[in-house]
Amino acid sequence: MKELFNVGVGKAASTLSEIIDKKINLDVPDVRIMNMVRGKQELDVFLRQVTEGAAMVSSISFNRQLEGTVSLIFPAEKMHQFIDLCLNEEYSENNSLEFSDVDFDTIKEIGNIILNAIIGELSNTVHIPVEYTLPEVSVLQSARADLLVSDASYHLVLMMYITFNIEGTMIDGAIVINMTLRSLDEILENIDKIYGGE
Amino acid sequence: MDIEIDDYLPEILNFISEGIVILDSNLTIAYWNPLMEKLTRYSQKQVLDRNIGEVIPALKQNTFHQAMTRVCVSGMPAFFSAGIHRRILGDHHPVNLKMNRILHRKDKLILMEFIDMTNQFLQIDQLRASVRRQAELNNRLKQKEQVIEKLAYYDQLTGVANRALFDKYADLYLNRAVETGSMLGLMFVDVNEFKQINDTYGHNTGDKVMTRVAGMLTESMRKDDVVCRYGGDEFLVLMPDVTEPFDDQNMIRRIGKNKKKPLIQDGFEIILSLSIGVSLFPRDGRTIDQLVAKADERMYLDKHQSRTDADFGG
Repeated sequence: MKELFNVGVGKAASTLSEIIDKKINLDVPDVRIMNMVRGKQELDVFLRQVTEGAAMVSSISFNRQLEGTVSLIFPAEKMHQFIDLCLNEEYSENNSLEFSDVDFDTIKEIGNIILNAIIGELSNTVHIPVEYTLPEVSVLQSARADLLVSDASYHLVLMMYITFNIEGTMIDGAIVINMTLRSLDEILENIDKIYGGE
Repeated sequence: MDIEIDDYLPEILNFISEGIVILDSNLTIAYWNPLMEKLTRYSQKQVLDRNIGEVIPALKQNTFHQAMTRVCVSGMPAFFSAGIHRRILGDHHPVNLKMNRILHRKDKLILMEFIDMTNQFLQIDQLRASVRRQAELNNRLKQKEQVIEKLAYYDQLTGVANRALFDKYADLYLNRAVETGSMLGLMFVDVNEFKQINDTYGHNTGDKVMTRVAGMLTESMRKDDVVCRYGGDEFLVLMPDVTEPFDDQNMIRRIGKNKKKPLIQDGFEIILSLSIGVSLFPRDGRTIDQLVAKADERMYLDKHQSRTDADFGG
């Protein structure tokens, strides 16, 4: 799974570098699959420590054979710097939680590239079609795991920490996939079928 | 009455307030709505059956081309923001571009939505201009605050600290000396016969002499020493963290090089002489008042001595 996500993230990094004309590295050090309770605890720790409560979230829901949501989470206070880097504008030392439509659209595009790459890679590798819409972007003033992952006990949480390195500026975020156990079983089964003989 | 919605769809798209383009899987334009005509100034008639890249050259770029292929083949939606892609439709209209796949019988079509962001960019420009104005205003306020502070804490004539600032630093340095067990020096400086300088050369020249004395004292002192104009022709200098053995005579000599020296001011040669007295915390007193009194006493002794020397031709 980790290898699979790293391939997706690698593709996203190269697309992003091309679009914003800056060298971007995306690093996903680890992928953790947890049950709902453990997943929420881990996510709450991340939200407290990295986003210090306020998060900018870009998320899509997917259905058809695989069901769930995937969210890209960033510390909201770092997003002005991130957006200014993407738009090649001088950073104006703005740490506020006020964002313009253009800011939201920038994150929507970046979210779409990353989430497309991850879900696309997953869907292509395990040959399971996934259907989804463009991401919705929102700012959560006091972000909690409850607001980001479903309560149903048959859901699992896949959590990946992702570090953006845009020409030396590092921004830490996380990708959280919340999917049904059935979806994960299906993925793992297909991975087994594809790589099982090796 | 049964309504065949398909029959009405082209009419409906005409009223949508987004630029709508529908492409077939060869990226050929099959539909172009009136708002697109407005955004690009190309009529539907001019663009139908032409490749999208010919009509909107920016979409020939690799990024867009790959996205269109991906949308068509896998149905992954694509989104391009006006902030990152400023010139999709040229200079006049910044647009967001959304691409989605539509499956129609066996055909795969691409629905493109161009969302005009001109007003949002205008608002941002207005906001930035207002933030800039606010920053300029803040800057001016800060400068005024600095002027007010200067008026409150610095002597208008000489630019060195006034008594209010001296009191602040005196408290600060004395507390620090008590806490760290260090020594604090205080120097009392008086310009001899200043009244005579004023009477002989005029107040204007007298003021300039006083300013030069302040400058001379500031130059002779260390960075953290505080030179203060204490009264008409009197200065006090606070000297924190002086070390043992404190050679006050050496310090006086350092300034005293100027104790009796001819000064050229406004074309006059003026003989300037200073009387100096130094006191030390904790040796000479434990309060600032005690230290000032001690330094003042020594300054008078010095003044007396210099008069005696003068009387006896010293």
